[in-house]
Order: sequence, then structure tokens, then C-alpha cells
Amino acid sequence: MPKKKQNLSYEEALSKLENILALLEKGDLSLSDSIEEFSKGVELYKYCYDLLNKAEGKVKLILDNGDDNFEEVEFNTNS
Amino acid sequence: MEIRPFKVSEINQYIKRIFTGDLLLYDINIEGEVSNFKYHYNGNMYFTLKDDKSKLRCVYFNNNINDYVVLEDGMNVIVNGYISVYERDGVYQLYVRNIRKKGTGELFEAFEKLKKKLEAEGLFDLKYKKSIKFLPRRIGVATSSSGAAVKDIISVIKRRMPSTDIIIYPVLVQGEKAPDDICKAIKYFNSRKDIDLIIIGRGGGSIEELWAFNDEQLARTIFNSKLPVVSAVGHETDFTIADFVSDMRAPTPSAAGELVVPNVADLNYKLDLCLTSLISAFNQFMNKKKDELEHICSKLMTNSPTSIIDNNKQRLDMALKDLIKTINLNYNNKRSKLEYLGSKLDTLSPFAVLNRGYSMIVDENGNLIKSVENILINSTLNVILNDGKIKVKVLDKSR
Repeated sequence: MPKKKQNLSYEEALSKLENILALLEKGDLSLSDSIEEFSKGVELYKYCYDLLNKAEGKVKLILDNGDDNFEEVEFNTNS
Repeated sequence: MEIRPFKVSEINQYIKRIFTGDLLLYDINIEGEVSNFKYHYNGNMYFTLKDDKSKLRCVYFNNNINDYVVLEDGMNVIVNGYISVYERDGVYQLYVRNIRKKGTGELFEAFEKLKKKLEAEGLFDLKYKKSIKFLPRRIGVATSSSGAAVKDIISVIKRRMPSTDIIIYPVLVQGEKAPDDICKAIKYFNSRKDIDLIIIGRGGGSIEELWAFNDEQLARTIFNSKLPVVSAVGHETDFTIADFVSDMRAPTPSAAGELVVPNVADLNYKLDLCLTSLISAFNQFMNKKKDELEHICSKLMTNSPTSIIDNNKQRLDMALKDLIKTINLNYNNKRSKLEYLGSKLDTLSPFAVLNRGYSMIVDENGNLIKSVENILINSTLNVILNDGKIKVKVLDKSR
């Protein structure tokens, strides 16, 4: 699972989380299955949370130096 | 004979009739520069149209006015209307039917022509519109690096989803070189592998200033972009070819920010709700399992071998107790019965009579003699007394 998770989009992860929730609410899983689903759910939550709240995004400016040579510099919003 | 002199009003009336009968003056387009523009409180507009040599008075009645063009002094316009005489002042003037800014007609025509052509080719078809990721992580923006548009886009995106990366490719947004610039930016973003969508745009301006976004080459570059393109050009009322061909049209640059990223606070709220439900569902599940377990456990305890042993032990104890009790009872019963019998035996014993002075007679075989009947004369009998016995001979018998 952790390997596959890397490519999961936010909506995919959220809908997986909602599926797990529905499964647990139905309540007819075996104990070990339900523990596994629960920990999967917590992991998905963390994954979604990180997607939303990871470090402040960067704002960059592209400088075209010609000959397909591009440079990325910090963009100053006040300039 | 002299013709009688005309009154002023009569001659003005006559001239007016000549003007209105003229086919050319009846429906005419005149180009010139607006000057002396006055907006009368009753809604009529008065101005003078001029070129470098001459002037023409114009009146634009409010019932003809469309709000397509806002007039101001110095504006070059093409005016359509008819020329007639204002009798009261004895002046002729242009009565305006409509006005368009000079040049816009040609631009508009070119716009319509290109729009039709691209539409016929299918460039605007919905089936080609690429969907925009719900949560883009990195957004490419092609716009002027100075000016309000770029700041609006950044501030709205940062407010709604602070974790988004924004890559700005600075481009000219007006003038001849602008379309090329914007195409280059789109191609650049497509060459990177980490961009989720592209915003192209600029702030509001005149139709000429926005013209770069009506470029055919730009339209085709947008169409061929593998990444979804959002166009955010000018104001809500401005439509450009880029708007039609792009995957999403944002009415303004800041609206583009609103459209491309969701609001992080909303999503966090929903996500937290999801976690709370997950935990409570899991707890509920575990409690149910626990209850089941406890139930089974208590059932198990009542059926456990130790409890059977305990049970049986108790029964055994009870049985033993009962047994002892019964034995005791029996014994006591027997004893008292025995004693009773003993005493009874005592009283019934023949020997007891002997104590009182009676004696018993038995024959030689020990048989008790109760009658004289079978007793033979001269036979020997035994007389048993209290303290011994004597042997006697029968001498006689009688009845």
C-alpha cells in the first residue's frame, strides 16, 4: 500500500477513506480486518492532511536565458 | 416682379426639406475625432466631430444610445446617422444612430471570422476540454510579472490553498510579440513534468490591449497543450478566442484563483469530520466485539470444568452429609427399637414368671407341658423353678 499511495490523488485518497468508514460503520468485518482497515484509514487521513497542509508552497519566477536555458528564481510579490 | 422676402423660419424649413430629401445625407457614416463632448442631464449627448480641417455638430438622442461605447474627447469614432437642419438655430447637424470606435469594426470582424473558423475545426468542442485536477500541487502562470493580475492570482491561490506552488513565466500581454510569448510559456510548462495546469491572462483593458488573446497561433497552442489551460483575460464582459479554446474560462484573474484551487479550510473541516467518524465507527465496532467477548466469556465460565467440579464437590458434600444423617438416624432408630424390644422381651420372658414363684414343667425333651392329656403315669418330667430344676415321677393324673 505505501508504494501505491504516492500516486494517489487527494480525491482518490478521500474516497478510499470514505469507503473504509462505510465498511467500519456496517460492522460486519472480522476483528483483524477491521483493525487493518482502521489503520489504513488513519494512514489515508494523514496522507490527505499532508497534501492539504504541507509546507507553504513556493512562488517562483522563470527567467528565459535563451537557448532553452531556463532559470527559476524566487518571485518577490512586492516588486 | 420681385419675389416676396422669405421669413427666416420659412427658409430654414426649405433647407431642411432639401437635406432630408437627399439620399446620401439620409444614411451616412462619418469618421472623426470626438470633441466638446457633453452629456446632457436628459440623457442626450452632444459633441463635435472633427478632423484636422473641419467640424461637424452631432447630437445623440438618448433613445438611440447603446452602451457599447463610452464616448470621451479625443476618441476616434465612426458615426452612423443622418444630417438634417435644426430649424430654431439655423444649423445643420448629424443626428446619430450609432457610434463605434474606429478600428473596432475591423477587429470585430476579424474576431468573428477567426472564431467561426476555429469553431468549424472543432477547437472549441467540449469533448476536447481537459478536466482540471481537484487539488493541483503546482500551477504555471503565464502573465505579466508586474501589474495587478499576477498579484491577484497569487494572493487568491495562497489564501485558498497555501500549499500550492506557483510558477510564473513572465510574458508580454499586449502588442505584437505577446502571442508568441504566451505560446512559449505554454510550451515551456508542457515541457516540465511537474505542472498540473496553466493559467494565462491579464487584467482589463481595451479591446486592442486584449487583442493578443485573439491570436490564431495562440489558440492552436492552447488547443494542443497537454496540460489544461485556464484563460483569465480582462473583465467579466470581455470574451477572447483564448476563452473559447481554453479548458476553462475565468471571468477575471482573481476568479481564476478561486476556480483552480479549493478552499483548504473547507477541506480540512471535511477531512477532520471523516477522521472523527472513522474513530467513532472503530470504537463502536470494538465495543461491540468486546461485549460479544464478555458475553461468551461469562457463558464459558458457567460451563467450565472447574465449575462442574465445584458443583459436584458440593453435591458430594451434601450427599455425604445426608448419608451420615441417615445412618445416624437409622442407628438411633434401631437402638431404640432394640431397647423397646428388649424391655418387651423381658416382660414376655417365661423366666420372668418364675421370679414370682411359678414353675414350668417340661418333658425329657424339653417340651413344655401345658396339659395332662399326654402325660403318662410313671414318666419322668422336669420341673423348672426360679433357681434350678427338679426331676419328678408322675404318680397319678386327673382332670
